[in-house]
Amino acid sequence: MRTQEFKIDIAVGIVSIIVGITAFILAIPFPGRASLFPKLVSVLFCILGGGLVAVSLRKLVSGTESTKPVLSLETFKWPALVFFSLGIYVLVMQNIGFYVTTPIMLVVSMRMMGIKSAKTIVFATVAMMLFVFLLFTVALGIPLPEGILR
Amino acid sequence: MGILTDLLTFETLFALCLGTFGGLIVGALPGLTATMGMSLLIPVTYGMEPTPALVMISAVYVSAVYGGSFSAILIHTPGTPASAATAIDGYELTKQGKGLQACGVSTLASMSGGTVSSLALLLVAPQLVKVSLWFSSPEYFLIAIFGLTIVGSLTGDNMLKGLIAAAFGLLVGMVGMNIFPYSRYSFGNLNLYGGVELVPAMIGLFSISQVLVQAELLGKSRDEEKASLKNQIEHAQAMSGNFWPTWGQFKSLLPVMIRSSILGIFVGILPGAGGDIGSWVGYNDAKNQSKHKELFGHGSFEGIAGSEAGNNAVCGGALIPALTLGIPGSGAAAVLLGALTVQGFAPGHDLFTVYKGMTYSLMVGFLIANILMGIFGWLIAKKAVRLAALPLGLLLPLIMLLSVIGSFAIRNNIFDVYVMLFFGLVGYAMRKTGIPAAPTVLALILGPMAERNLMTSLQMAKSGIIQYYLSRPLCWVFFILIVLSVVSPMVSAHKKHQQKAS
Repeated sequence: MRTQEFKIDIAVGIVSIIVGITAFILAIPFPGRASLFPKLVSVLFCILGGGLVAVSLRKLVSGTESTKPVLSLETFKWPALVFFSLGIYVLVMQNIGFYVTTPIMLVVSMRMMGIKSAKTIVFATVAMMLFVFLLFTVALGIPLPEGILR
Repeated sequence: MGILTDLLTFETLFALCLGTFGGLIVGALPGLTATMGMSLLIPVTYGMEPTPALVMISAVYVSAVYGGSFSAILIHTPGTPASAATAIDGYELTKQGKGLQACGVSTLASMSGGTVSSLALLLVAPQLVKVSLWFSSPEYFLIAIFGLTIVGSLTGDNMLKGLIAAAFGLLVGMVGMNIFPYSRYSFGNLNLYGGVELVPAMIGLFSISQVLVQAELLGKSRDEEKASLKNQIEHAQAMSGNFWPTWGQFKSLLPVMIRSSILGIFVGILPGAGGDIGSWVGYNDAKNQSKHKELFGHGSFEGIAGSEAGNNAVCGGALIPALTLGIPGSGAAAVLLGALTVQGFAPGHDLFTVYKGMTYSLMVGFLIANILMGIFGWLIAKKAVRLAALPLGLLLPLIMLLSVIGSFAIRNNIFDVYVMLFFGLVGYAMRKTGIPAAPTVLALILGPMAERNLMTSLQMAKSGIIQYYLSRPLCWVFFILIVLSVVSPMVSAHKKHQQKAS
């Protein structure tokens, strides 16, 4: 019987309660009325989280079957890889520079995501970099990180 | 004449055409949404004048919602969630060799829905903003709370999760020194003293989360699916026949389009109810009123007319409370409000008085976009479906690149890119756990409004705050609406549960 959805909902509810309690504790030192709204929202978080835990536990105990597909660790492999690569790119871009790291990021990403033709990769990379240069640097005058080119 | 002067400049007209065409492409691409396209476009509009910038973003909004119908009809893959209902009957008609006619009906219905809601926007918004003059801080506080409760109960399949999403947005909205001369939840980080920037948060929640969802497909062997898609595209491109409906067909579909348009406007006004709800409401109404119910699910032009008129009518409806009260009627309207804020404007009375030239140009431009998209759609319908074959390996890096630059460009601050990444991860986690993202974005906008007005109410109330609120008749109206918005989903759920048990 599929019950993963309800277990995930219980986890979400517990996280909400933890976030609510943490936000409440952090709001205590706020002076005067600055703490009113944060405390109200924190309590709301806890109530909603508690409600979600209660409803999900009831479904779990009553033997209700979930209609949602089951998630496995395999589902998250590619999203994790993409997110990790994006994070590395952002970290490196600041120091090395946008116009040096971005073509590398594009080539590596396209290759990683299944584009096999070298001609397509080169053409797409040049087209995207030209588009970004003309729009953001020339037209909008936005100074992108220069890094080692400074 | 001032309005026409703002609208009829080369920059604005070019932006209108570009936004309409670009929106069609975004909508036709499965996996991309109107909200995502709009949030990526905001940083591009920084250097533009307000009128062309806002006209372009609103044009993307309406044309992306319409553009989703191409791939829905021709290859049974909705380009946007708002076209899911269209795909049911649209693809059946394609299998019967009537795909081009289905596209024509979809085009006409979308133009009708969009035009009717644009006219409603032009007529209703200026009157509603006069009503808003009666509102003071207590009413604005309650409007914000009503907006948050209704968006929490309408979006997603679980009201508690919707409200948790809204509460999260409220919490994030309190970061920094936005309301008090004291930095809350900033943990000593100077970059957070001004609060969390809305645009990077939206780009993360809508664009990066979608990139991560699409990335799940990379690990799957999709050779059969790709071969089938290629066949479908070739079949769609080989279609022939009339595009536009005949006069007789138009007359028979007109009542459906008008009803669905009106329903769509009301759906759009409700905070958080987007094009997807509008299209199902329109589709279901068309089915209920139809004399040929047996055709629904097997190729009904009425079904397509109902869903497409409904989903496009939501666009104008969503802008009515957004421009007048600052309460976005949909996630996309929230993004448009974000664009308005970036350009230095605030929704409300001043928008229709001091800046009426810009506002009326926006609304008339919105109307024109609804007509222009039909013309562009007629020209590119068969060709647009080819975009569905665009490999993820080309699309995802481009979206990632635009997301990074777009987030950086706001303050030339790399911290905003980290904010984008954080919200991208949060947005992905929300999608996998069934928590809708729209309430979070709405709460980011409504939260500060709610708190600011609550604090002002506390200062205005000489006696207790509760007595002060209860002494104002308009507040009673909002109290009742808030209670209804919280209680009615619970009552419906309880009734459903009882029906199942019996």
